Amino acid sequence: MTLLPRPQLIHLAAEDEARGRVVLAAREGSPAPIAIAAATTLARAFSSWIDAKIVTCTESLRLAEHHFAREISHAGLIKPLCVTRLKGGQSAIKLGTQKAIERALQVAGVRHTVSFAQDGFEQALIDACQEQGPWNIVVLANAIRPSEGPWLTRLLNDIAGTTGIVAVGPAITADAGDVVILVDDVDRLPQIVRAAVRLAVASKLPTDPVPRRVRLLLVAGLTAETAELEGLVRLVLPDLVAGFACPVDIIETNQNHGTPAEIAEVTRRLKTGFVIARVGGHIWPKAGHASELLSVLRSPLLLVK
Amino acid sequence: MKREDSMVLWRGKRSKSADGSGAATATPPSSKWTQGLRAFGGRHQASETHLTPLPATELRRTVDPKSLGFATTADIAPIRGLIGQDRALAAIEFGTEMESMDYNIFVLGPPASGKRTALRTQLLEKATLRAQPDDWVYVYNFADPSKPRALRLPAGRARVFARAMLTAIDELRGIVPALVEGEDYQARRRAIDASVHSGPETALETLSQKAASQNVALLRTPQGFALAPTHEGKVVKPETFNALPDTMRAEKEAQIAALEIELAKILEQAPKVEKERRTKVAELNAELAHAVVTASLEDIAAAFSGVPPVIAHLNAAGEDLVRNIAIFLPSGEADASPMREPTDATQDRRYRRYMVNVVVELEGAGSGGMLPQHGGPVVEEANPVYGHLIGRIEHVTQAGGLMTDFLLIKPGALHRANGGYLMLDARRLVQSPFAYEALKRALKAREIRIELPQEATGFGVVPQSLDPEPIPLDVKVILTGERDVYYALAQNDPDFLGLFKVQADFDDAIPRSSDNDRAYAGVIASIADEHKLLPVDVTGVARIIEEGARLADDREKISVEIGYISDIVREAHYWAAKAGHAAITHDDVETAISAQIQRADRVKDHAQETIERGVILVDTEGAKVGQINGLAVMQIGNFSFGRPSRISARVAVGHGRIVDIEREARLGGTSHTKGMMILSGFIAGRFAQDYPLALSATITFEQSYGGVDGDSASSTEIYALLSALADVPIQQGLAVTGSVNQFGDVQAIGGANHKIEGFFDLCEARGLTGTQGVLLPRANVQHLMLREDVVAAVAAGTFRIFAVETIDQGIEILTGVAAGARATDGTYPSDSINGRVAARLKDYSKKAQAHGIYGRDATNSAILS
Repeated sequence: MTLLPRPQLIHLAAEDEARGRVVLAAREGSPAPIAIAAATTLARAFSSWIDAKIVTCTESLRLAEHHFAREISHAGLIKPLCVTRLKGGQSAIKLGTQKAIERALQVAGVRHTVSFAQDGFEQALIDACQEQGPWNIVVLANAIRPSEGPWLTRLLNDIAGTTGIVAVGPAITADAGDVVILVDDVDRLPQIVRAAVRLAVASKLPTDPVPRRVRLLLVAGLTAETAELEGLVRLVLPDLVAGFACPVDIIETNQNHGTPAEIAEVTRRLKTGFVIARVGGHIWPKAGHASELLSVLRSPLLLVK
Repeated sequence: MKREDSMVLWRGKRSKSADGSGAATATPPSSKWTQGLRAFGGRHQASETHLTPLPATELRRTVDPKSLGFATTADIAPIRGLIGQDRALAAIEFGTEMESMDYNIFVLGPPASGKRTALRTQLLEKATLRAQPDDWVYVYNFADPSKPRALRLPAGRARVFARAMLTAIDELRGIVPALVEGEDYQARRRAIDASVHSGPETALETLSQKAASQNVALLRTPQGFALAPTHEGKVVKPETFNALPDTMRAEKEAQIAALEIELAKILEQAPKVEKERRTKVAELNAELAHAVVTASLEDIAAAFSGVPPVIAHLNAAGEDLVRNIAIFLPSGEADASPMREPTDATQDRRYRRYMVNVVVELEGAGSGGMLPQHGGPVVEEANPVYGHLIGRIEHVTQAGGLMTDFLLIKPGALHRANGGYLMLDARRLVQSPFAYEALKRALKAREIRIELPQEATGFGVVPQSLDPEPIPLDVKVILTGERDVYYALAQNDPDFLGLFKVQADFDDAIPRSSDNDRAYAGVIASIADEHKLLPVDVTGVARIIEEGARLADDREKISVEIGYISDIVREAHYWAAKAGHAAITHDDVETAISAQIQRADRVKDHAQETIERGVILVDTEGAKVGQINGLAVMQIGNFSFGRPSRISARVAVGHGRIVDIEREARLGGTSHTKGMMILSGFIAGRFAQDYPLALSATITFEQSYGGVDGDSASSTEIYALLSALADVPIQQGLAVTGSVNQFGDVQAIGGANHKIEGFFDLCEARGLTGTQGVLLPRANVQHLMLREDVVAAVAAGTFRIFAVETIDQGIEILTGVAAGARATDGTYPSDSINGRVAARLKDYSKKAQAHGIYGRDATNSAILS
């Protein structure tokens, strides 16, 4: 645990920053509407635009050229992998994904572009994030399966040009609510809180009677550690109460030991619209992953590098 | 007759005339009259026996106020209900006490006779003797939603049941989300998800790692997965792969094949795992739901433990609630929003099937319903259309279609009256499409089956609808209506007499007696009492009784048109109050009647004015051949008045044909035509025994353009014809009414009072000469209830009224010439009317023979048209 913020500040959209963008990355399969909504909230929060990338897997086409190539259906049937059928299916999915994304973004009134890529998914994102800067947030349009945890970690590590990745899990249900920051360290916390405030302000609906809030959920192993963490938080955020454009508070819970189930339960009860976590802490270790957390969270998860 | 210029020669139904003042006294025949006759026909022989006019005492039956025995109606007990209707009331009592579904009652009688009020009073008394009816509700049928179930509950319990169900659902709306949001439920739910999901997910991840360790990648395809050989994270190209040694390639392919089989097994398990998860979640939900649903419904079950149908429904509802507990969970952001309006559970379609539709309950029998303190309901449905009678299934528009459910079942009058009495207006019932048939179906089947009229009749498009369980029916139906409705139904509907076996026939009028006069005073007292009017003093009561007799068109009876009597009393109260009287007097009643007539008699005034100004020709003086004054009654709305009309006859040699010009011009009604044919029969029978009737005669109502009906002018027409044939003038100061038979007997007619008064008014306007008067059938003398001014004129000898029995009597009065009796040889005295007529006809016969007129048609010469 560090007591002071590290000097390596990740570029996470300063107040006057408006030159970044949101990359909405879609693979085969239906995009999750909540992921698209998260992308639009981000774009609004940072006065940005959305670069939608629809990536078709060419590797499966390459596989199809092998004489032994077979496909295993979701029902467990094994059958030869037909190139024609594969291309047709990919084309239909690509078109459906494009329409779904464009329709949602048009309704949201967010400026956007839609482009296609045929290389591997990771490479397509790496290329995209290298094209423009200075910051990019990648929103993964498809829900992440628990088994894809390592892949997500790899993605976080490989895409050098991104400042954060938004992912949604299979339990995703909530697309509106307060912004909860999972705090396991004060490293980069002020920047994260500022970003969270912008998200909270941007996600407020005209019909909401009260503003969205930013809630700091302290995640520590022991009660004593939690108390110590809270002290540090108050140290780095002296203007915690009144210094932001929306209410910011610390959630006090005696039963939170940082397990995915506990985090999911607390955020559910808080009616959370967005969860922000830092990559590199014990919630999402740099070398490991927290696919279990992602699989039970009901809100989109913004992983900040 | 609706048109102003149409005439009804028989009695008008309702009379309203103003009487003059003056007492009726006996008076001798006028000497002027005798002088007039002598002046005309000194050479003719006058009849000595039938010329006496009626004395004034015969013209009106008055009430002596002293005979009533009280000062004002405040001194006597009001009589609420009917008087003199023992037969009808006994029938109603019998009908109401006959415990059989086919002994329903038809109350027939004139409108405004007070029969409905009396009926209502009697039914309310009878209803107290009946058992208090049960409540009825419709509830959702969980086994077959298209057939809502009808539940019978003890009286007064339906609303309690409905409120209890609503409360239970409201409780569940609050409790279930709280429980589901609770930590306990969520922990158990997560445990299920974790235990179930971890299986295939972990297996897939393990397989992915295992494949990666063998340089095999797990790829997603549009329809599933594929496994591909990789090198440095990339899928190996075919040419590269093919360049590998055979053994290496075979080994890789075998690895991939094995991984594929493993993957297939994992994926095959996925649906089973999902099913297992769902089952476990359902079990968890059912456990939770069972507890909360039982807790919510157990109080209701305890409260209705003695009502097995309710318990059965609660069990079904409870099972359904447990199965569908998810309906109480928020369905999304809209439900969770604090801006969401709290909605009534009855308005939320998710909860409607647990609601209760109360169709019959104790508290008030609904619209038109009256409940005695104890006992069954008495319901009067003023608008008995199909839906109001049987009940209806309403629909609402949803997504462009018509939808309904059991909560949209609306009860009808039969539901509200079940266990009691239902009063309906028969005319309105039969005029309402499908309503009468539906009522009969319900009475025959002894159940109320609510269905759309289209379903019941098989006509029209039937929208998606319901088939509610019928409700057993135990009701006594009482139809009220006029006699023509009763007779029409009895004649045309074979079911009618079988279902309405009790006929309660209310008289239009009751006999006049001192007892009934006093009872009438009691009714007047009740009217004053009910409407909080001034008391009516004894002179006022006497005057009202006389008006009642006049309304009955019969001095021996009093009308029971209580509605009209009530109008007079209330209007008299107005005038009495205006004059500052402490009680309603004779003069107030008189003023009320006069004012009532004045408001309605514009047409009468206009008609009389046209006669006075000579536009319509009616003589009231002098004598003319073949011309006579007939009397008609005009009825406009509910106002009637008499109007004189000139009738003329012309004769000539001809085929034996008497032409009724009204009929030829299609202005005559059937009764009038019949009267004319009778007239022809009389002439032929009396005069054409020895020679053919070589007569051509025309008879008409002068200046009549609106149609004539009734036979009350048939005697008048004979007089005109006899005058023309005899060439003897008729006194124009006289007017005549009366029908006749083929033997020359003068018969009773209706509207005698109006007719006499109409001619009197004209004569009075021109100046009464003492030679003026009216001939009416003797049979009508008993009906005379003339205005007091007419009676006074008769008493003073300035107007006279003759009662005649035969044509011979009448022609003598009209001409002053003896009619002449038939001798044994068939001849009549030559100077008599009959003698002159016979001579004229014989002369015609000869002339006709000479000209060969009836030779062509000898056999039909006496056939008169």
